[in-house]
Amino acid sequence: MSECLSLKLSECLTLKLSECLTPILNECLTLISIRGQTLITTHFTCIKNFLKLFTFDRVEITRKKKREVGSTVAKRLRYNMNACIGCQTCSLVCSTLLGQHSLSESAIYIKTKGGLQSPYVCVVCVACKENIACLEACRTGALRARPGGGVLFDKSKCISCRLCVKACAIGAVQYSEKLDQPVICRHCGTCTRFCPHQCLWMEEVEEIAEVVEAIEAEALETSKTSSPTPETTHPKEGEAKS
Amino acid sequence: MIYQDYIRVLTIDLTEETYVISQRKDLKAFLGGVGIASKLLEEHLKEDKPVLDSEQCIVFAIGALSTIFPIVTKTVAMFWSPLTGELGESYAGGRMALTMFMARYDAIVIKGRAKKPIYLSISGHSVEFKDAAAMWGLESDEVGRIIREREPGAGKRSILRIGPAGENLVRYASVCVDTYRHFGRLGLGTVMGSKHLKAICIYGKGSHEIKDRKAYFKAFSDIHQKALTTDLMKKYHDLGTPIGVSGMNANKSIPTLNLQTTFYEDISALTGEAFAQRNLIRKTACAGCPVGCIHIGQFRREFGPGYEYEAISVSYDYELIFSLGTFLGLKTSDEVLEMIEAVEAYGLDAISAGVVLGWATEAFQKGLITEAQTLVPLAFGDQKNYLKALKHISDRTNDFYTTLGDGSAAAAKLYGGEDFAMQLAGNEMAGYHTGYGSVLGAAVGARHSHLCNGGYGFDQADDFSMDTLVDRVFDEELHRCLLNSMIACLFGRRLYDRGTIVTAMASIGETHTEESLKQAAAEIYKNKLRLKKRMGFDQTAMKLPKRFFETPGGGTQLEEDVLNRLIRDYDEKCQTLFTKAE
Repeated sequence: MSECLSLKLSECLTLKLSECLTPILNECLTLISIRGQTLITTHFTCIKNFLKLFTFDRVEITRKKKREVGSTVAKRLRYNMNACIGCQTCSLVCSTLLGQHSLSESAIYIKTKGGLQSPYVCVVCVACKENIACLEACRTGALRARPGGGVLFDKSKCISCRLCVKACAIGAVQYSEKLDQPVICRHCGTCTRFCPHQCLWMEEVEEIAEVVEAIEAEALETSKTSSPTPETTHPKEGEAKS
Repeated sequence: MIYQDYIRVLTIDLTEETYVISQRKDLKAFLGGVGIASKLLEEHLKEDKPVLDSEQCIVFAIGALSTIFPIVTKTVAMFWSPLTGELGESYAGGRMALTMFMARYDAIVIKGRAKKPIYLSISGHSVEFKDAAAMWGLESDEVGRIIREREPGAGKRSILRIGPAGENLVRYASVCVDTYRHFGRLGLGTVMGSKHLKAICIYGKGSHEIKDRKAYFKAFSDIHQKALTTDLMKKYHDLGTPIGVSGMNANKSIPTLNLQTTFYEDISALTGEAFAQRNLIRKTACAGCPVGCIHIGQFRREFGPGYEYEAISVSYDYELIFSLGTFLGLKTSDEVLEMIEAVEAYGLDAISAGVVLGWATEAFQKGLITEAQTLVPLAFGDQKNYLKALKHISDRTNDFYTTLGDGSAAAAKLYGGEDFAMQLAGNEMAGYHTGYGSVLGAAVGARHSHLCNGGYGFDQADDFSMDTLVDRVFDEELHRCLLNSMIACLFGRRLYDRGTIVTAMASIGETHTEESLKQAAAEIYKNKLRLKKRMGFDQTAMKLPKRFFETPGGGTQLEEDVLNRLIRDYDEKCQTLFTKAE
């Protein structure tokens, strides 16, 4: 059910990259293929770095899956713990998504600051957008950046090295001994629907347009240094053949 | 165990420092919770040995739906009560049920006696018997802190501990669970103390694979949604159980000044609103409960000259405001919180502690006991001396306090004043004197608690009738055998009718009908009645203090003859339970 959208980068740059990319990148999971090199990501840092690595004449963007949540805007989980009563419903619901009744197979972890006389704290992925430590630590590509920040996990590529667990400075990557895999919040928002005291909610991430603009600016910068116009630097497909 | 055809029991022997796991298919018919705990107690009870003999046991059990459905949060403890000499059954919330579930134990049986003070560290993979000699004598709160620092698993563990009262075998010593919840009633702390068991830490990091994810999630979501849309939130989360204080007082139902009256003139500073406005600092919940009824109140204490203050926070509830407040004539929320702090620290049952002090105060006023015995003059409203008296009870300072530590029935038997020693079969009364229902309910309730059947609730119902009272109390006692097998918190009892339980059970692969659940509940109740008989209890021989019939309850003047008739009728109903089946 994947939709394919072929773009000529030169066109993008002429047309304004953001106009071409934003609607698509907002659609959750995208697959970008450039001259046979494939990158499954929607994370702008990755796209940016990827664009730098190769000389390209064409960007193919495939929409793999539509965002299930009604909004097309990327979201991330946020919390405010002052109303938390420590019921752990969020954890119990989260583990259900991995098919478990469990606290260890939950990506969200509620504990106290220091004993039950102190406030509750929430340990969960904060959806890093830049310098994503767990992603950088992952050697196998099991983690990929997700729109709105944080990562998406692909179990088929995971070798259970636990480097992501160690890498996360706030301890938000749990490890399930039973499933032998890391448990990382994918910001799906299920827990927020069950929090009885509205401590958890999904926040829209609005920086997408800004990042696209940054990519655009950078790409323009690159093209300017090498050639006055992108068209001449990167010959169009048809022209190259002829 | 969930998704299995057996009940998984961990049996720990403190004397030998050994433990075994058994998979009991035969217990599956008793659902869980009180159903399996009463069967296990039946197996291990040694009625020919003393109540606190090392061979006696403690049984903890979680229920068939524990913690994977909203408000199903409790753990039951069953034992031979050192206070009443009969059925010991107590419920606590906190994280205990969740951790037992995650450690994959349906029940934990503890027997024997450790050679020296120890604490148990229980996880899904091991049971460790750890030295607690240095903790012996420490207050409950301090023990909690030490174990928290020594044991792993923050957020996934539950810590039970006793205070000095349990060590000193005060007959109504409690067990504190996770700081704010307790196995309060009937002396579980005493039994732990007799076993030299200072604390238990349960670490639940395991899991259960869900069989039918779709069915479970649907059932869970529906019940969760229902829980959030009932009045539970408003009632129990906003002001918490103390919401009942002003209403009970207005209905002339809150036991006051050792039940000399049921209306307290000075109630204004003790209402739920007063506590919330002056002292409430946060609310918390048991694991798995979206309501969050636990209310934490803070008060400030000046402990030295030069503006030396400390802030102390404790959890407060309706029952404590009655037993340590109105019952003793205290006037402010700060005074009540300071009393709660003391019973917490010493590890005393807050209800029994307040009620025995009520008897002691009146006995002192009437000259049955003297200051040579009480060491401080006791007077209603004199909170400072009550604080000292609580310490004396916990320390069993002299003969008088040792007897007082055996309960109001024992003290009144020795010193006189049985007419105003407010207990039922040895268990001190709870905070409801609403009419025939409250006294009947506690008198015939399996453990003589207001929660056995909620008899006081029927007094307050619009359709109250003396003709149906016995039937209603009986049916409710039976239904609660079912709720306590799940083990749903009784605040959620209206949410978990039989139909809902059938649906929830079906979603985890347990096939039941409303009728089969009813039958199982009857079997469970029969087990409990059999246990009571073995422990030597005779319902019809029970003698109630005269005060119940002197002070009107909820505006009704009770008559002893009428109540005795109700008790006899109830007893007959219990008998037919046996004859019907056999």
